[in-house]
Amino acid sequence: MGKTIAEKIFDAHRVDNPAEDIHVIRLDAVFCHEITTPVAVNDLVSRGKDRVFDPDKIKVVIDHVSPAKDSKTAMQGKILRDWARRHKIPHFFDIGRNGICHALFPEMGFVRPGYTIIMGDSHTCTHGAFGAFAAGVGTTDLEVGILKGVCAFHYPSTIRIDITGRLPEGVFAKDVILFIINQLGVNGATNKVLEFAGPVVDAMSMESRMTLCNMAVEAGGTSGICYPDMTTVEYLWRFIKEEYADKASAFDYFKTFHSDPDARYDRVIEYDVSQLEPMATFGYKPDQVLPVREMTSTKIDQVYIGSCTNGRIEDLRIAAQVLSGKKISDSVRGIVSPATPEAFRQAMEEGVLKTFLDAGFCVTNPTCGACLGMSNGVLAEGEVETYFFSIDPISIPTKSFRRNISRKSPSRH
Amino acid sequence: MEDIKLEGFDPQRDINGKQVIITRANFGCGSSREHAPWALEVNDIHLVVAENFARIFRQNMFNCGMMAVELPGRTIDGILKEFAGKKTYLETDLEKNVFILTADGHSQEVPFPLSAFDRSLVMTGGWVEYADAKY
Repeated sequence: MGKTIAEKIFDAHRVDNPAEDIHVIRLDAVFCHEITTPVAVNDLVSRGKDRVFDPDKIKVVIDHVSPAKDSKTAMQGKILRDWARRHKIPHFFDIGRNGICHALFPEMGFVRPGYTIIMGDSHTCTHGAFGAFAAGVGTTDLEVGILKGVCAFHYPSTIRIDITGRLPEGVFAKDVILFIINQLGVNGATNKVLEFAGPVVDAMSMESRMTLCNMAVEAGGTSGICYPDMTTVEYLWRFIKEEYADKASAFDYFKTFHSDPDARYDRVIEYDVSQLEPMATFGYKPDQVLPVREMTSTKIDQVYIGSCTNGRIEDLRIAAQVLSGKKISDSVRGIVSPATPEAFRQAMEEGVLKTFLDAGFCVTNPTCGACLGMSNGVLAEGEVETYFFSIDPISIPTKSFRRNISRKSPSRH
Repeated sequence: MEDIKLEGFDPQRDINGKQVIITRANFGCGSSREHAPWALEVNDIHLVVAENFARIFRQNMFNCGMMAVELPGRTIDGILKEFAGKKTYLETDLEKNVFILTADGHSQEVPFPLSAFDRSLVMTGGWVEYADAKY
């Protein structure tokens, strides 16, 4: 019997099987940010277990509320900062060098095919774009990950999504994943791994694959995952070139993780995206999705471009193309947060930030910001925002910004 | 922990001196973070008995070294009929997997299911202690 990519990774990492369908696997990386890690750190300290399994395998960033907005968020940062220093964790990214965890850590080369990764963050599934098994966990699992470098999971059951056809102009990975979530529903992939395959995924950049995997959790998925290929090799090459004779041999190794042809799936679903339109969500649930064209009468108060889904340079470039030479309406507030310092720098050097400024946007530092609704860009009661990423190449001012998740304040509960 | 206690909920009035929750179906639904078991723990409640639980809440209870035990609906009906409103003592026998409920001099034994792994999580004090000792 063949195996799926997630099963191969599991079997290569299993250290224990203490009960039926409970598999303890070894972790290659534990990612940490200042919202969920401090509570785990405090608990470990109170248990007299203030230890880390391997400082080199723990990656730490302050990203959610940066700069700190008040003394409480400053304390969250301080607990994390003190802990990282105390344990001599080499990869700690503080203000000035920080970015959104799910954009920064891949950019730093910390995610590799075949890896197992946990983080106290629902969007940890993003890293499956590299052919890794990456899952968001709660405080206790995070504590055990930090302490012992292991985590317990159920054996992965996989839904394979074959994305076929050809993406039309102006339709992107975000539209694909919103469409898929709409089809599956918010519980459609609960406790499942979502494996994204097919020619459309093969043709996607790593950034687009990250967008795809990022929202697997919005359908309830434990993780999203793609097959690592030559695009993965190219993205990682500057980090891995010492490890392989050439790119072809790196690819040969990566291929060993690909699902076998006779692997068993919970379900296999094919979606032909050739006719897909720009999609957006409405309301509170991410499976409430409609084509953008059906939302043109929705008045928008604020546009937010950024986040771990869509704050990468590829996204900023597309948005800038749409905005070029235009201004947003006086009735709309625009905020853009490049996801990482590198994305910020590139956007600056390419003139992308100038386009945003000329269009009337506020440019912020890399942070989770308005998406999280926890630091900058919080909405007033009753206001409507489009966020994650918003463009429509056809119509401009005001109503152009209605792509992808419009929601009313108060934001997330 | 003070700020996560429920508004309108008075531990003195509602749970003071009470250490077990016996309830109906889908307990813990929507409480997928450890803060839910912790809120019980700081109120000295280490055992919840229900027809069934929200999956993550149930796992978090054992991960925190506490117990979330499932019993059939009719068994819970029987317990509530017999003991509701009475000063009841519940003893948990982890050797025999049996609850001994006592009120007004009357005792009733109620067997309950508990997997070996869940039992060892309870005995060691939760997943952090278990994992630290074993891995």
